[in-house]
Amino acid sequence: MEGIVAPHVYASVTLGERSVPLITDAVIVTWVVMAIIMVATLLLTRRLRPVPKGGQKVAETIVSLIEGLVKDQLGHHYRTYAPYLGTILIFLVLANIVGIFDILPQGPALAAVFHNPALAEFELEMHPPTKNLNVTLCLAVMSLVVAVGAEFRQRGVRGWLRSFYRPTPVSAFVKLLDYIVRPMSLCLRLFGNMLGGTIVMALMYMALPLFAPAAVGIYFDLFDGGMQAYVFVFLTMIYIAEAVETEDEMKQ
Amino acid sequence: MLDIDFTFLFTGLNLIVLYLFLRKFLFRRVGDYMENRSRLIAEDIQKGAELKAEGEDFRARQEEALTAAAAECQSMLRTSREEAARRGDEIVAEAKKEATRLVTRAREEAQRERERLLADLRLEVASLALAAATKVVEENMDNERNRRLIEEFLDREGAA
Repeated sequence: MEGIVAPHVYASVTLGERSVPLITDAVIVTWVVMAIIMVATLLLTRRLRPVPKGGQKVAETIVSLIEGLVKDQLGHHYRTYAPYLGTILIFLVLANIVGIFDILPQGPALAAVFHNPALAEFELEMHPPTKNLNVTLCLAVMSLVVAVGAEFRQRGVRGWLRSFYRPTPVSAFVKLLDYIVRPMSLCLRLFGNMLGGTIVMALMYMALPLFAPAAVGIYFDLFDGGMQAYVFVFLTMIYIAEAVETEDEMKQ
Repeated sequence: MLDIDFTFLFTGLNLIVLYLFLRKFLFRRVGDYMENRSRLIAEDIQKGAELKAEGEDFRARQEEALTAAAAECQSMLRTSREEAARRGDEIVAEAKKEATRLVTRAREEAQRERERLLADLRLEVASLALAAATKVVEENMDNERNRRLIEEFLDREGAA
C-alpha cells in the first residue's frame, strides 16, 4: 500500500540536509504518456488528404471535438486557448486511465525470466501520474497562470489591477482568495479522485483478483479518470471564459 | 505524500513541451488543414453554383437562339413560298398576256392581209372589168343599149 500512496523515487538530490526526490514514477509515467501521445499524433497526421482516411479521421475528430468544446465556452477566443486546453485534456484522459495498463512485469519476474539479477531492481507500476500531488498542483498552477494570462491579454496589466477594486475594493479580497482557492480545488479534486481510485483498485486486486477488478475498474479507472480530466479542463475553461468575457461585457 | 518535490517542476516542463508539440503538430496542423478544406469546399460550392447559373443562362440563350432561328426559318420559308407563288402567277399572267397579244396581232395581221387581198382583188376585178368594158366598148360603141348598160354598171359600181 505504501508503494501506491507514496511516490516511487528513482533519483533524488540532497538540498541542505533533506533528500528531495528528483525523478519519481509520476515523471516517468508522464514521459511514457507523452511519448504515446506524440507518436500517435505523428502517426495519425502523417499524410493529410482532402478526403480523410483512417488516422486522419481520428485526428480530425479529436481536434474538432476539442475545438467545439472550447468554442462553446470561449466563443471566438477558442483559437488561442483550444491548443492548451486540448493538450491538458488529452494528457489527463490518458494519464488518468493509464492505470488499466498496469501490466508491466516487475523486477523479480524479469530477473527470473532473463536470468539477469540486475533487472531485479526494475520497478515501474503504471499508476496515474495524477495521483501525485505535485503533478496536479502543477496542472492547477498552470491553469491559474493561463487564466490570469488571459486576463492580462484581454485587459492589460492596468485593467487587471483595476479589477481588484472594481466594483468595490472589498472584491480585491475575494479575487485574491479566488487565486488561492481555485487552483487548490482543481489540484485537490484531481489528486484525491485519482489517488482514491488507485487505492480502491489496489484493494480490489488484493481482495478479489479474478473478475471483480475488471467490473470495478470500469468506474474507477475509466469513467472516473475521463470524468476528472473533463472536469479539470472544463473548470479551467470557465476561469478563462470569465477572464475574457468580462472584457467583452465591459466593451458593450 | 504531500511533499513538494521536483516532480512539480518536471510536470511543468513536460506539459509545456507537450503543449508546444501538440499545438504545432495537432491543433495548428489539423485545424488549419480542416479550415482550408472547409474554405475550399465553400469555394467549390460557390463556383459550382456560379457555373450552374452560367450553364443555365447559356442554355436559355441557346434555346432562345434556336427558337429565333426556327422562327426565321419558318418566315423565310413562307416568304420564299409566297415569292415563288407570286413569281409563278406573274409568269403565267405574262404568258397569257403575251399569248393574247400574239393572237390579237395574228388576227389583225390576217385581217389586214384579207383587206389587202380584197383591195387587190377589187383592183384586179376593176381592171378586168375595165378591160372587158373597153373590149365591149370597142366592139359596140354605138349600140345604144350597151351604152346604157355600161352607164348603169358604172353608176352601180360608183355607188358601191
